[in-house]
Amino acid sequence: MKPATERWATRVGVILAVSGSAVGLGNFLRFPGLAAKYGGGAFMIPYFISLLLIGIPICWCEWTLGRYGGQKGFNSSPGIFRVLTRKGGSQYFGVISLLIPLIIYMYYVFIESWCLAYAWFYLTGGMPHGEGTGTSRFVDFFGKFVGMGQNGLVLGGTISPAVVFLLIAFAINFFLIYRGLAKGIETFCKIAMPALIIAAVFILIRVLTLGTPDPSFPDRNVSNGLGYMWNLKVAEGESIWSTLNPVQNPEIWLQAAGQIFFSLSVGFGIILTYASYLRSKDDVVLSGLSASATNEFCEVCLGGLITVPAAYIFLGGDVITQSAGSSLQIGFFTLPAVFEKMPIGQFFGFLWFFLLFLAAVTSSISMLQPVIAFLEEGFNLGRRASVTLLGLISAFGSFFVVYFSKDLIALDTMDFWVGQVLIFVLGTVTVILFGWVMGIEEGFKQAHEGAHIRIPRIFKFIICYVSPIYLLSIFGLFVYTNIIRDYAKEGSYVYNLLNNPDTQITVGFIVALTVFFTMMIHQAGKRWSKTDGLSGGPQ
Amino acid sequence: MNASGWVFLLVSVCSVTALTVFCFYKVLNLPPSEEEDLHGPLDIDTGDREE
Repeated sequence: MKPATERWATRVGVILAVSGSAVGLGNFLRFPGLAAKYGGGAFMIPYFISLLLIGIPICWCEWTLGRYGGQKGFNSSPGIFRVLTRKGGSQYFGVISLLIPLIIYMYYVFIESWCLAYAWFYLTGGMPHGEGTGTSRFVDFFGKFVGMGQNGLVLGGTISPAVVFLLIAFAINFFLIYRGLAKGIETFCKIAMPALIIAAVFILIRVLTLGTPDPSFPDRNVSNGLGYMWNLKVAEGESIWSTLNPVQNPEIWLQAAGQIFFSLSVGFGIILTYASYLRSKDDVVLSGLSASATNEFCEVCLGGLITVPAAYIFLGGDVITQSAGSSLQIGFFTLPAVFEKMPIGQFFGFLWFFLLFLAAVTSSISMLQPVIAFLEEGFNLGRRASVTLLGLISAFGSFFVVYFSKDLIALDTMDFWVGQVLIFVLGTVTVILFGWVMGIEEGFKQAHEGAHIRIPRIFKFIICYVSPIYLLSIFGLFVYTNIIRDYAKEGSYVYNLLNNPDTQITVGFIVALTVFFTMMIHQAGKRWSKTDGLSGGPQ
Repeated sequence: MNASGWVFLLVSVCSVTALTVFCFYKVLNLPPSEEEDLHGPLDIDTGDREE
């Protein structure tokens, strides 16, 4: 079997590319909002437990399985699953790991384009100004910008600025992906990751030195802002133990586990593909841990100290309470109101949204690579042809998201069914593949090939038993709270699926895409079988 | 911010920073990979194709 020919250029480059894939909007917007909403410091306990029991173990599993697949000649998940199980049928399961990054890309690039647009508006003075406090001005501005009032933003007769910025974001992504793994993704991440960390540190210093900017609100100061984010918050009459009891309060565990998944980009199928481009003796243990640590640094040390404290200092706790838990509200409603009040706020607004844009691009380019890899090895397409085909498919999907802009229904539906449900499924499958199909002893042997540090032995037990049980329990809770318990609740995802035509069309689109890629995998599998049988690789 | 807030903040930030510093210290102090600096035939410009 022929090993893959495209390779990462440097060790640091691959770590920055994987951490770039992980560091995104969730680090700076979703995490602080969730922590503030679900108990402040109390949230950090299930958060770190989830990191240790599922985040880092799955990360190591994906890095190891990906490099293993790469050595057998496969870079795409269908091929990697096929060679891992030595059964042709398992390749069809790879459709999930193609769908997850592709569908997330379709709406993520739209959000990415908002960050670019807001950075541009701050730079050119295009953000709304006015007297008064609160976020309503920015809610209206955002709603008009993305067309939340009605479907068909792009069919308004004139070219919407939202579409222009979407096209720019799209072009940047496809330019980078067309340049290839080392020259495109790796080179960009080697520049963008340090740049975004420097920008975030700069903003962090500004936030921590704000003092008490409005003397008429002496309680709105840095110390109380940090306290709003980090103080242990338990409901009246409850203890820390009842707050953390998963039976009494499943939501905090669900949100912590979901955040770890989304934040580390585990269960996305991306790390599998990225790691397949490693050489046989390249380290995966230290690299995987370094990428996870970089992501956690951006999330806990930067995101956790900037977003909520800044919002508290200028707007107070009530505004955060209303928006906490929604990345969209914190990012595009609350923070613009903060920058409006902050000294030199226009500059910091630009810097913040440009930082978010860089973080989003490093993530979105990684979402394209799994499908590119599949098209290249499944159909022997060249880079130009595979990029063009993927461009058409993803442009159609993004158009779909943009068209169904009323209340961002398509975006929200895709995010729930693909960005939450399917990543739990793929994460669970990955850990089972590593621990039980490849076998934990063989898995550890593979992981330690060329490794510069060793995985503690306790992780054998964790990967075999704790992680799958933990994942299945969390997934069970997730299904119960979101699907079984709330199915009849107006506005819930299942209710919308049964009653809202826009949601039904969106889910239909996801199903159609699933059928399409399953057929593609079938064709690719026939081609792979012709060359060297069931467990063979592309030639 | 109360004492519990300081504890959670300091423990979280310090442990994550320490892990990140440890990882990058290890990565940056590793000897260069044997293949890292090798260039494939297409990357080497020998000039013998020029007219």
